[in-house]
Amino acid sequence: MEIFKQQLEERRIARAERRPIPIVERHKDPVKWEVAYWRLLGLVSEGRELARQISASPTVKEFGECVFALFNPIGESIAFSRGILLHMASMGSSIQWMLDHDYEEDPGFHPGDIFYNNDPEIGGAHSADQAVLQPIFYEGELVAWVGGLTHCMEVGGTEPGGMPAAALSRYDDGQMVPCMLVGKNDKFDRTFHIMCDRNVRDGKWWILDDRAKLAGTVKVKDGTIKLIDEIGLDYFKELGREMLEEGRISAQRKAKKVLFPGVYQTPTLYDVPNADPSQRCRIPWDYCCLAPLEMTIEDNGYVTLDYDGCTSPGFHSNNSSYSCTLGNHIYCMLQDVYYDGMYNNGMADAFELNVPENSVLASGHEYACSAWLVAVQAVCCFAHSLGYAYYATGFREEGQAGKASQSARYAGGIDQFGSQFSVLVFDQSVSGGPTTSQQDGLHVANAPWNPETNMADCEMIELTWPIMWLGRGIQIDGGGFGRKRGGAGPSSIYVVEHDVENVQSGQFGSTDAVVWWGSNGGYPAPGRYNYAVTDTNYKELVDKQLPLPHIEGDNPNDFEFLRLVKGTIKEYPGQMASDMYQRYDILQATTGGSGGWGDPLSRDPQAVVDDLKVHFTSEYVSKNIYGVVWDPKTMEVDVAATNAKRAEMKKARLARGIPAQEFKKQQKAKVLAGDVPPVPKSTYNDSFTRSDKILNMFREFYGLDESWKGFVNEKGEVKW
Amino acid sequence: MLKGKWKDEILDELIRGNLESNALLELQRAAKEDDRFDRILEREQKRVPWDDKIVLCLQENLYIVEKNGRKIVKCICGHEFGDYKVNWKENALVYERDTEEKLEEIYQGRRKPDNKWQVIREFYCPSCAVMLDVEPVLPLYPFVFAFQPDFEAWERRRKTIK
Repeated sequence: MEIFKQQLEERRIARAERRPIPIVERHKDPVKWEVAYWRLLGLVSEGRELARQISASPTVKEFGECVFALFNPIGESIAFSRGILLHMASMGSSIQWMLDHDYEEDPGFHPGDIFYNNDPEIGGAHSADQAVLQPIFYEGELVAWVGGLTHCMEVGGTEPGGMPAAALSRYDDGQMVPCMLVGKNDKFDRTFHIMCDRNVRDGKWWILDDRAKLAGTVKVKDGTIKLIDEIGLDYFKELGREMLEEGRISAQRKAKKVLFPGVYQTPTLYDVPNADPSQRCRIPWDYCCLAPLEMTIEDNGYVTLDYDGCTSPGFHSNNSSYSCTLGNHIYCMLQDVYYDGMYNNGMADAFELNVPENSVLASGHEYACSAWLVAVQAVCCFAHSLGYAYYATGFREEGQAGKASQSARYAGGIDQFGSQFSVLVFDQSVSGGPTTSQQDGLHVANAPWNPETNMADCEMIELTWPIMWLGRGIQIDGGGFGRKRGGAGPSSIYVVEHDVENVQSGQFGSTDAVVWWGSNGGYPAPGRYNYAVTDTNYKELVDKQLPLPHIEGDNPNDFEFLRLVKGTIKEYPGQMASDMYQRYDILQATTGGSGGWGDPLSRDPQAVVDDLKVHFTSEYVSKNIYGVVWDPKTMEVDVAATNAKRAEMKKARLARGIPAQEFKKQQKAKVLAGDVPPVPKSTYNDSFTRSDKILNMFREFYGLDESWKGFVNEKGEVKW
Repeated sequence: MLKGKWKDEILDELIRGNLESNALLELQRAAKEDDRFDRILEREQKRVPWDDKIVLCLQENLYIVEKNGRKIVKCICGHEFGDYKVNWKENALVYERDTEEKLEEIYQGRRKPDNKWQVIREFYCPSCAVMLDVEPVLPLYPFVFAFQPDFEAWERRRKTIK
């Protein structure tokens, strides 16, 4: 009899009906309850730290890409460690998938079983995120699950590094292990790891990370059993139920206090330039994905997030599974609103996420998810809506402009020791921190999905690949401009230093488009790009002790690193499929900054000059965006000249600005003539044919009747 | 009820958007008070150069005020944008950066987006020329209605809190 499958069904109905769970034990003895709660949190944190300390991979040890959680028997997380918070939804989704697919009957659940999942459609972001799931039994009864997840930097995908940007379908994403039973009695099946070793470029990362995860899950399992010995099984079960409800209550109570009720909009874009010649893509179709968020906040603090009209999935690597999209929104709500509550699956009951099926945010079985960046981009921009909601209630110490998305550089080939290597580095994942109404964004801050992400020491990574860093710097003008400016991400310059041939390297991540929303009149952060210089004179520069390129430089039209090295310059988009490089080739990578807050002409001129002195901003931007005048010798602000310049710049705005109604007339003429470039036209028609929401928004805005159905082709069809 | 926690000077600095780091951290760490909304409105009312009653701070430089029994959007400079249920952008000045040259003025070199994929749209107050919003959107995308407050829901909420 499938007891847990039935319980899961009942629970789903209760959640849909927003049915509360009675709180009993917490009221009876709050101290006992709190102690037990913190012991559970301690257990999962202990599991994570153990795995991190014994892992041999830089991803886990150096970058901190792992997370552990304790679940109830139906896959709801009751205690979660720090780490990749994205997976609060995904590991539970995997447990629930097993219940939905009759695993209780076959293969059944037994003490010591090791289940394994890295299939993102079941639960997760991409095949690089690999979860070990173990049932916990107490006196013969399944009472909980423990999950440990690490990010692996090689999965046998179409490119090395575990997150192939060039993936066009699921079958390019690497080896999938869809909730398989891969071990018994707390021991992996040896043949499973033989398969992993044979199917990926460098099996040591996968196998050693698996051992680290298993050590962590066994530790949590043993600790949980010990705790049940002390507090009793009935109390443990009740504690789990009440923790979930406390998670929901604390989340909803917080939102009710700090977020103003109403409707908020933030449409997000993500460009996929597959037709760019540098990408040599076998399906060279360009995409510009649209994720049009509408957030509704109710009087009781319940939040609804709706993406009706979202773009279809496509032949690129930036699709996202539903569990990944949900996980993204959970961590965003957790970090930006629910951060002082009880964090577990209960939080997810305080909001509803509506994502259209078969969309780029819930992409289904066939599509590649290795980079999953549309979902990341959507939650980065989601912060823009939350910023308005906070501002209205007066809690201006909270609330942010759009956050920065991020990137990661990867490479593979034969290393300096003659071994096959596959490495992903995270210095591009530590992007610009968010900007608030009170503070500039922090440079090189974190990655939203894992607030503990660490870019790691170059020297550690240099032991694992034949590439060396020539420089890691804060990108000048890398954040959005505003009264408070955005945080900038890093710009790194690498060289293929060792005596190796054919190093394959690419970058998943940020877009060329300018999409990281500014707020309240601030500009979005600039677009991203990558470069390489091949056939260089690097060796000559070293031998003659001439200056080497260490930083990008402050003039985007004349980059310093491109001036210092001679060779063939190659330009790539912000997310790039891998290319082949040889010894002494130079690679350059950038990642996202966050949006600015407020009108740049309101920025304190002294803050602009302070940024200028330390190369956080350029002379061009200081003069032409911020309207600041200073004495170049003393670096002192000329207040009178600044005020005059800013007054002139405001006059120029009034001169060039068009009254909105006139602007709309001009735009409407373009709409009726179908005068829209091909990629946006395709994006619109896709949305129009999938949902009435965006179509009706167009009709209403431009005063079009129902006969207008989209941008028609010569046959009168609306096609994308 | 948690009330009167912060001095007026702290809230005034918060409104100016320049709260010093340690004070900011203190506000972020503290339990959120129940009277923040009313106190911010009170302090804002003293700051603005006009007398219409502020009922909501919509965003930096924009307020919803009560005037002749209607709720309208008003700039700090006094410019009135009309009914709050209509997107204030419908009555703003618009400047769209839809060419390489216009985009290059803000985002130089490869930092600028491809104008065949997206545009940058700036909205200014027609009176004081303050920049009120910047939209990174697809060409022809309708104006984004960033925030439509629900005052009825807000009143219901306040009753339950009181």
